[in-house]
Amino acid sequence: MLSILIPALQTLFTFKVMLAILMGTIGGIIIGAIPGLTATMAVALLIPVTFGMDPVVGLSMMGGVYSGGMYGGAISSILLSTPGTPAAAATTFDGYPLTRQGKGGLAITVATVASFWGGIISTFALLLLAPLLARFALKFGPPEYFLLAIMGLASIVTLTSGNLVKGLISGLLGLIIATIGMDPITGYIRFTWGITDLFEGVSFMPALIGLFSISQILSLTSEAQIVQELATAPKSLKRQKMPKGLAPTIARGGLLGTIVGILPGAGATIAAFISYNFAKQISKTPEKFGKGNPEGVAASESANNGVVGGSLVPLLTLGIPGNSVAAALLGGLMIQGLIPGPELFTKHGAITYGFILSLFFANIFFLILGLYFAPLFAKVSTVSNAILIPAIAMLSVIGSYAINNSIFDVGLMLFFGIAGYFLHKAGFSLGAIVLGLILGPIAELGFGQSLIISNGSPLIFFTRPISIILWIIIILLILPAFSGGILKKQRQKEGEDESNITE
Amino acid sequence: MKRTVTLLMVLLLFGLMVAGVFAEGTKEKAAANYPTKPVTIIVASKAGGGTDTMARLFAKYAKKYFPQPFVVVNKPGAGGQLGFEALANAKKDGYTIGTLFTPHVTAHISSGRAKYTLDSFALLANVVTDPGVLVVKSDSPFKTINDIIAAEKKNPGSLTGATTGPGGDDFFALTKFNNAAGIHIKEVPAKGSSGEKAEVLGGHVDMAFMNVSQVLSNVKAGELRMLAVMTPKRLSYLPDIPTFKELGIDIVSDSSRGFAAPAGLPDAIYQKLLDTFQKTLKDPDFLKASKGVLLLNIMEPKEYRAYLEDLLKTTNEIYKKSPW
Repeated sequence: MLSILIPALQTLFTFKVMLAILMGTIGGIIIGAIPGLTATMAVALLIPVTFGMDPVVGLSMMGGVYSGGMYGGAISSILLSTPGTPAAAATTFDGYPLTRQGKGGLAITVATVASFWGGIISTFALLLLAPLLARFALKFGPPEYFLLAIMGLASIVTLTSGNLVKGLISGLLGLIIATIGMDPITGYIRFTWGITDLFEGVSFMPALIGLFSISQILSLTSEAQIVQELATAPKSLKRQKMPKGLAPTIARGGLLGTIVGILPGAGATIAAFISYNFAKQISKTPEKFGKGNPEGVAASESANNGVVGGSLVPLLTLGIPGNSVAAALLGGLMIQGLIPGPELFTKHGAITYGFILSLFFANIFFLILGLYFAPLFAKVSTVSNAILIPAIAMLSVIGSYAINNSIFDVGLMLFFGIAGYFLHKAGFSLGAIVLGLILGPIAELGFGQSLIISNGSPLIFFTRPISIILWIIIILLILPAFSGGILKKQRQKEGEDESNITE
Repeated sequence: MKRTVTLLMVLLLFGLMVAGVFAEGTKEKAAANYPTKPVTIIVASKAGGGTDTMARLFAKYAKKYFPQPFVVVNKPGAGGQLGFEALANAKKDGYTIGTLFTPHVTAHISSGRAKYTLDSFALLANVVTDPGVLVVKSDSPFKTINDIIAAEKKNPGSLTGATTGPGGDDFFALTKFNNAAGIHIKEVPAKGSSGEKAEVLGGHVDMAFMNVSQVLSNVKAGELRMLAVMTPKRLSYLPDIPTFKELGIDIVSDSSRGFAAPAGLPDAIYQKLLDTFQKTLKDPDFLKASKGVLLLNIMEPKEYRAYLEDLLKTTNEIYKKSPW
């Protein structure tokens, strides 16, 4: 293997390739930070451009866009509570409260370091274990995907620390909204009132922008600035050291992201939510989550960047893209005459390993850029709301239009924004709604497919080895919430009191 | 007062007439000067997909033959229906063209959901045809389609086949196979071709109804086996794979992608566009770039039209028997 790696590394150390990675990464960060502009679009735009380029140059630029884009989503999540990419939605839970406390710079530093390690861990997995991991991914069939979705939905229990019933109602609301559109099994069109734009369901990105960003700016209208305590604001502009004790969270997040990334049809958003949930479950102080805990940011960001390397495993070995960016990357590979499969690692080894190694550099580049510019980014949160709110509103409109070039989506975004504002005020969990929206279709498809395969017998969900493991995890996730419900409530109350005192 | 109103009315009327004449004049002028600004290509699917790649490659190499750039705008959704409708309703000035892909473009008409007909489009060219193929995992006991038919007849309802879901070409292929062979393979709809591939490679389904371009790499790597293709004749690049037809089961199915303008655009403009397409699709650099990426099957408008009309009959029939 070393005999391939060294020449591959040599192809990288040219000015052209390094410049391509750097440009890709910077472009990716910007695209990722702007809601509605996605890494998928950027890679698709690059496909015809890279034809005729040296394959390593073209592919490493795309790899830079992918890595940078996944990281960039965190910036707007943290500072404006507007996820630049769906994968960064879970980052808002703790990132935005940190910004409100004047610690936006710290949150970005944590996100940068966590994203970096997430990316590095998954790239190592891709480099060393790709064929093995691909075989594991194939073991996941319809019943496993159904259970994976249930596992994600189980995080609602931990996500909504305050009011479990309202959290569950929120999740259910998300699931109900997810049933709009074509039935994946029969093709029957449900709850669309004949509106063609709804045939494929409620488009996810506009709903997300509405729920997080519009509802947020509506609440911000009553305040002069995002940062609540002006006294601490200047601190956020100085360079911040990483808080200690985040290493285990980041390592877990990176691994989880890699594993979920390998499974085609799961994706970065789910990885981030599951990792956030795990971090909270394992934590000794779960009540701190959602109130500005750097651990929450680290968990979600390490996981979504972990997906980058993971999603390339089935892409490069089997030609199965793990998510939409990977699907666009497939186009980028094909146009270079690089057909996924074993030959990619042998005959075209120099190019393929060059591409994989270039991901390390993309991660290093955004680490340096992110750490260096964190204080500068954080300045955004000290801008007066009178300027910020119209700017976010404009970005939200453009972003939700750009995703499908559809004015209907803009209306959808506004609807979700207004609904989200009132639901949030009434104590419902917007995070749980988003989870229902993402996981509903995966659960439904997996459930339907399983029952077709098993001739309608539900036993299929209990007889397969991976299914059983997933069931155990699900039970472990849910159990504490019910068995120790009273005890936990007590503890939470104490925690709240404490935080009130410290404030 | 009354007189001023009348005067205003007359003036307005006069103004309108002048504007009308002027507009008429500019229309003719517009056709003569065409193109004076970039032409938008509405791609009825997501960025990065097969149709998108085709449009972007065309746009890149059309530069040589067209004085203005072609700009790709993705309008995905509802199995292409949103994009097809946007194309059908676009201004007929030659500055908006779009992509069509089958069988969705006619399937939406058959299901009565489409707000367009085949007459809404002035066809420019079909570019890609991706034939249907039946694949199994390489360690599957099925070596021919007759093995499948025999196994299913022996044990009805025991076999599963992955498709991309109702209304797509894979679903049509499975339905046709079931009807023609008198068997009942259970359809397991997957999320896109990558979902199908994951399910058949993972051994979760017995077979998958896919398209040739989606499986070539896995067949080459020895992971999947093609049993038969759904073309009238054997494919030149797959001479060893039999067709369904020669095995006695009449199935022809594919997914084709091409370009059209909204019907009713001025003939001079249509001719200019057509000319650009015909030249670009023969361009050696375009052919080189599409090698291995696009399964080219260039059809001129007349042939393309006949192909679509024929397909509409098929999708109509299937919709009658097993609606989706």
